[in-house]
Amino acid sequence: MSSTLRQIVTLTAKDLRIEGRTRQTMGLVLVLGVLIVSVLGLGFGQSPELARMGTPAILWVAYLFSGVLCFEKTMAVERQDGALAGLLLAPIDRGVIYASKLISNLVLMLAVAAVITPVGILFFGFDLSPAPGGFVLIILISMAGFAAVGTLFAALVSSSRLAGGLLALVIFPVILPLVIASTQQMTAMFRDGASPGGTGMTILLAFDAIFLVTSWLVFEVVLEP
Amino acid sequence: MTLEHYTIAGYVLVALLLWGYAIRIWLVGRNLRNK
Amino acid sequence: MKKAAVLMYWLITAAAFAAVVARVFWDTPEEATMGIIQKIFYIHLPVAINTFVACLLVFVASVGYLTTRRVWWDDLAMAAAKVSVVLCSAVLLTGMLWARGAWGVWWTWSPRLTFSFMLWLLYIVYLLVRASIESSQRRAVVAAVYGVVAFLDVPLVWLSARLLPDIHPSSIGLTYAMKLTLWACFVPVTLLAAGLIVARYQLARQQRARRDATSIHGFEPVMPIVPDGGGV
Repeated sequence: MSSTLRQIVTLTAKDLRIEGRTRQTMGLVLVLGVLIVSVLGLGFGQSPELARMGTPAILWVAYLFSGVLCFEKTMAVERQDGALAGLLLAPIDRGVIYASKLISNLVLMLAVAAVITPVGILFFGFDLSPAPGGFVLIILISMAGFAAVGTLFAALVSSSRLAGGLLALVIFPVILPLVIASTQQMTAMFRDGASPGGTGMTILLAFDAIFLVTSWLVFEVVLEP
Repeated sequence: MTLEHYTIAGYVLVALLLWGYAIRIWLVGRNLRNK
Repeated sequence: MKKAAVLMYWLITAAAFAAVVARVFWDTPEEATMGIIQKIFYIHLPVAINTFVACLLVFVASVGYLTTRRVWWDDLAMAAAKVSVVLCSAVLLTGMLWARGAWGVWWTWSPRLTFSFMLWLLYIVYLLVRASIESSQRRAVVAAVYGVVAFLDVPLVWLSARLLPDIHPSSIGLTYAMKLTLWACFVPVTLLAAGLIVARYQLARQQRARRDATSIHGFEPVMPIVPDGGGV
C-alpha cells in the first residue's frame, strides 16, 4: 500500500517539477483563462448587473476552456520523446499513473482558479463576503470532479489527431451536472443566503466519487503508447 | 397553428424520424448487397 | 423463411403503429385542463423510455467490448447509440411541441426538457467520437470508455436537471381509458426501437464483413471502401 502511495508521489512530483521548470502549460492556460473572463466582461459591459449575478457561470466557462487546454497539454507532455512508452513499460499499476496525472492536473487547475477567480470577481464586482468558505469549498469539489473526468478523457483521446477538439467535445456534456449543481449551490449561498448542502451538494460529491473510481478502474485500457 | 396542429405534428415527426430511419437502414443495406 | 419473418415483424409494427395513432385521436378522451396537446404524451413517454433502454444497451455493449474485446459488442454499441440519438431527437421535438402547445414557448430550461437535451448531447458526442477516429480498434476502445462514462453520468444529469427551476410543473391525471392508450402506445414504439437496433446492428455486421473481405489483412485502408459505421 505504501509503495503505491510512494509511486504516486514520485510521479506527481515529476510532473509538477517538469511543469515548474518549463512552465509551458501554465502560461498558456492562465492567459487563456484571463482572456475568456475579459471577453465575457467586455461582452457584458453594457449590463454589469447581469454579469455580477452570472459570475459563477462566467467563471465556469473560463475554468472549462482553460481546463481542457491544461489537460490536453499535460497529456501531450508524455507524448514527447516517447516518455509515455517508458512509463507504460515500468511495472506500475495503470491506476497509479492515473492518480499521479490527476493530482498534478488538480494542482495546476487550482493554481489557475486561484488566478482567474480573483480576476473575475474584480471585473464583475462579485461580493464574496456572504460565504467565502462555501465558495472555496464548492470550487474545490467541482474541480476534483472536473479533473477526474478530464484526466481520463485526455489520456483517452491523446493519441488521436484531433485531440484538442475531441477533448472538449467529450468533457463538456459529461460535466454539465457539475456546472448545474455548483451554480445552484453558489446561487443558494449568495442570492438566498443558504448554506451549501442538499441535492446540489450530493450531486457534486456523487460525481466525484463515481468518476474517480470509474476512471481509476478504466485507466488500464485507456493508454496507448 | 392550433393545438391540434402541434399534436399532429408531434406524431408525424415521430413517424418520420423512426420509420424514416428504418427505411434508410433498409436502403443502405440493399445498396450494400447489390454492389 | 427468415425474410418472411422480418417482413411480418415490420408489417405488424406498422399496423400496431397505425392502430395506436387511430386510438389516440379517435378513441381517447381529451384531458380536461390541457386539451388536445396532452395527447402528445402518449407517444412522447414510450419513446423516452426506449431512449433510456437504448442508452443502457450502449453501456452494456461498451462494457462487453472492454471486457471481451469481441468486435460484435462494438457494432452493437454503435447501433444502439445511433438509434438512441434518433429516439432522443424525437423526445426533444415532441417535448418542445408540448411546451409550445401547453405554455406558449418553444424552449424552457425546465427539468424534463433540459434532461432530454443533455442526454441528446451525451450521445451525439458518442457518435462524433466514433466518426473522429480512423483506426477501428482504437475507435472501439475510445467509444466504449466514453459509452461507459456517459451512461454513469445519466443519473447525475437527471438529478441536476431537477435542480433547475420548474416554472411549468405539470402533473397529468389519467383516466382508465387514457392509461390504456398509453400502454398501447408502448407496443409499436418498442417494436420499432428494437427492430431499428437489430437492423442497424445487422447492417454494421454486413459492412464489417465487406470491409474485412476487401482489406489487406492487418492494414487499415486509407479510404474505406465501405463506410465504417458513419453516415447512417
